[in-house]
Amino acid sequence: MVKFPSDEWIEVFKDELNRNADYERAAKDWEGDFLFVILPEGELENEVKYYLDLWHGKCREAYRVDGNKNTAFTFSGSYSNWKKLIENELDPIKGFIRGLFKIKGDSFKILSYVKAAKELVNTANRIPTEF
Amino acid sequence: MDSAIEIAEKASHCGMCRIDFLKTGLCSAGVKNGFAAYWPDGRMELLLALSRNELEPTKKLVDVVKSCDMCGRCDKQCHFITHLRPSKVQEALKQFVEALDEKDFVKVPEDTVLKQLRDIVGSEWATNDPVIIRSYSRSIIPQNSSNQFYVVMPKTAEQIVKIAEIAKKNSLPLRPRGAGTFLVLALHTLLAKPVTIENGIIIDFGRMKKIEVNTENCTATIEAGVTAFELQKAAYSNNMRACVAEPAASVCANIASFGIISTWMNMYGWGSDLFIDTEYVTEDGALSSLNDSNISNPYAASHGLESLTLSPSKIVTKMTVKLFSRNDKEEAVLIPFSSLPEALAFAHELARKRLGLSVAVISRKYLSDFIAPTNSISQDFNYVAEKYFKMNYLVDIVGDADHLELIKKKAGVVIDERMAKRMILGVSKLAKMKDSEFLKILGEEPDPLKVVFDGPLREHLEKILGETKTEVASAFDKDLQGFFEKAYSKPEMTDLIWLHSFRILPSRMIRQKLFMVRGGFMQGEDETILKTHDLLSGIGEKYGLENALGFISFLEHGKLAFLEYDYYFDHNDKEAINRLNNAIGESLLAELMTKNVLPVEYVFHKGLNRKEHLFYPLPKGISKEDIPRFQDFVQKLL
Repeated sequence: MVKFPSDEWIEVFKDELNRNADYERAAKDWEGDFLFVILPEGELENEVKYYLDLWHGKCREAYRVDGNKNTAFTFSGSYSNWKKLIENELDPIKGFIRGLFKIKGDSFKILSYVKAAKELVNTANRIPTEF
Repeated sequence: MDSAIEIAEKASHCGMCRIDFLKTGLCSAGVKNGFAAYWPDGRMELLLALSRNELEPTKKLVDVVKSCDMCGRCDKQCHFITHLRPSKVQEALKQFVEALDEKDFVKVPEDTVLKQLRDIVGSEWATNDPVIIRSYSRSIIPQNSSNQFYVVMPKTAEQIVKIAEIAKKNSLPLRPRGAGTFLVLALHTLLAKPVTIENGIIIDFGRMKKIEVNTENCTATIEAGVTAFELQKAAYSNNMRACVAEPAASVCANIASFGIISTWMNMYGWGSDLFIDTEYVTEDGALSSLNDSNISNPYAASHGLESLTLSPSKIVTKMTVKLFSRNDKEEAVLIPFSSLPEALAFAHELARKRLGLSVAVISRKYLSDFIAPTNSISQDFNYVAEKYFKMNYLVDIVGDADHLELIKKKAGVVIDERMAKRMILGVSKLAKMKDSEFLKILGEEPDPLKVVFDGPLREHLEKILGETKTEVASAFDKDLQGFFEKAYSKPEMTDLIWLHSFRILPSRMIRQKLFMVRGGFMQGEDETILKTHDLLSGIGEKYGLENALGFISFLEHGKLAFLEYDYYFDHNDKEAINRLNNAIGESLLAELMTKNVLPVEYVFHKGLNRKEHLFYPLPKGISKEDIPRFQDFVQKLL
């Protein structure tokens, strides 16, 4: 089991994502780095940020960030909603349109890559995660 | 040549090339020479007639062709509305003329009638030249007609009186032509015969363009050739507004024929509510006015099955119309709905509570056609709006900002001016998302309208649509994209209030197909309105015609309603026209059989009547026993 959020979790996620052929296909033209922001709630006392460099269907880099980092996109939501997302109880796009997650950046671009977004979630779901 | 003929065949003759709505200036040949042949729409009729060997060239054709300096203004105007390029038609005409020999031209002798007409208006403003006559095809003269006509362009009412005398003396029918915008639709249908004449004298009001605004009385006195756009421009420059309909239509003809059917009727009224006085020439050739105390009650209207009037009894030469003050704090808003009953109930309540100036329920198709720069973008947006946004109807309101605040609070989900502007500029981006995974997910939401326009997505939608003019301009032909980028930078092109007042965008409804207006005035009861809507929709479907609600608006604070329902048809498809004619006949009968509904045909040429005389009482609905009488009556009329 891998604890979420942790440094280990994002490393495992990166490896898992790079093994996901469905993601590679869906994101083959994608260019743009992301900041995943897990907002504190309940047992999570402090905000956690993950940096992901996503490029043409692969994840070139992924690590936890302390402080600020400029990225093309930010995807942020509360800890409990991240939990639902990772457990595949919440669709990332539905989470976005219902206001459970916020996006910063070119939303038109993200909304054109719905399959890739879903594969990101499917990848997370494959990780044996402990909350 | 083929593509030019195709353009000419497709042409809808909306008249938008005769008003300067894009600030390009007008066709100089048309302005100088007046007759339809010198305007882009008339040239299209000439090319069609020549290509079908239905017109023998005269020297006038050379003059028409030479008068065009290929400035390209018509391309911009026509392309904005219909996506056609009239300059290609002119090029084809030029080629045609260049291939002619001297012996190919026929001579047109001046006869006695023409000489008399020329004595009145000047030799250049009256003609029997077939080239000029043919250019009026489809806008007053039936297509393919080879009968004897004269077209005359008077400058004054006194000249019209003299023209009427000549017509009477020579037993010639006389018919005025405003801008011909309604006739363009009617002449393709079973109404063609009764709305026009088989031969005779046509009066073109193109030279009668005087507008005098009286700011003290808030009125404008206009001659019969003044278009809605021209009047509105004059009214706007005096911080007022006129209640007008199609921008290229002649205001006088429009009031006299249909009384101005508009979303503004909700507050400004209809027919005689809109004018102070009307000057006209009677059937006997006398000049009179409605303020003349010696005439019999000019506002009285006949009732009953046989009160249908398809030809005008007066030639309106001048009108003094009311202008309405404009409030600096006006706003516009669109309120989207999934169902018609909900939208209707909302709009009706506004009318009853006197909230809003222009109030109407419009259909999804209306909105799509208005805002989309091309037909395919309109169709794709229409699909997205229906399937994923569940946005089928909109309550469309212009009103005082304080009233709008109340309305917005009540509505919850609104498309305000800011969002509407972005939709006009970015509609193609929404259209491109057709059947995307994102829209599929959105469509699964229980209330997508709330999500899109009132939820977290709204901010993103605004960003996605953006405010760039490049996106909308890219929908036009490449050589015109630069022009349209500048055109869309003008504030009025995305200003809902200006667009409503000048009614520029509705002309796009005929971009793909012409349409015939159905519906009429009725009691302001939602049940009657919905019943009539369903009835017209069912008949449209039965005859395989694309059909859609145009709009529903109100009179007398919701006591009365007007419903426009449109049947679209390809005017080059004879079989489609047959189906349309059957649908017109059946829908007319069905409306006549519905209690408290006055079909739109029964309002035709009654715009000078007082609405109180016309709509009180509304018909009780004919019985099955009356059907043979109705059929006999229609047979005689047609």
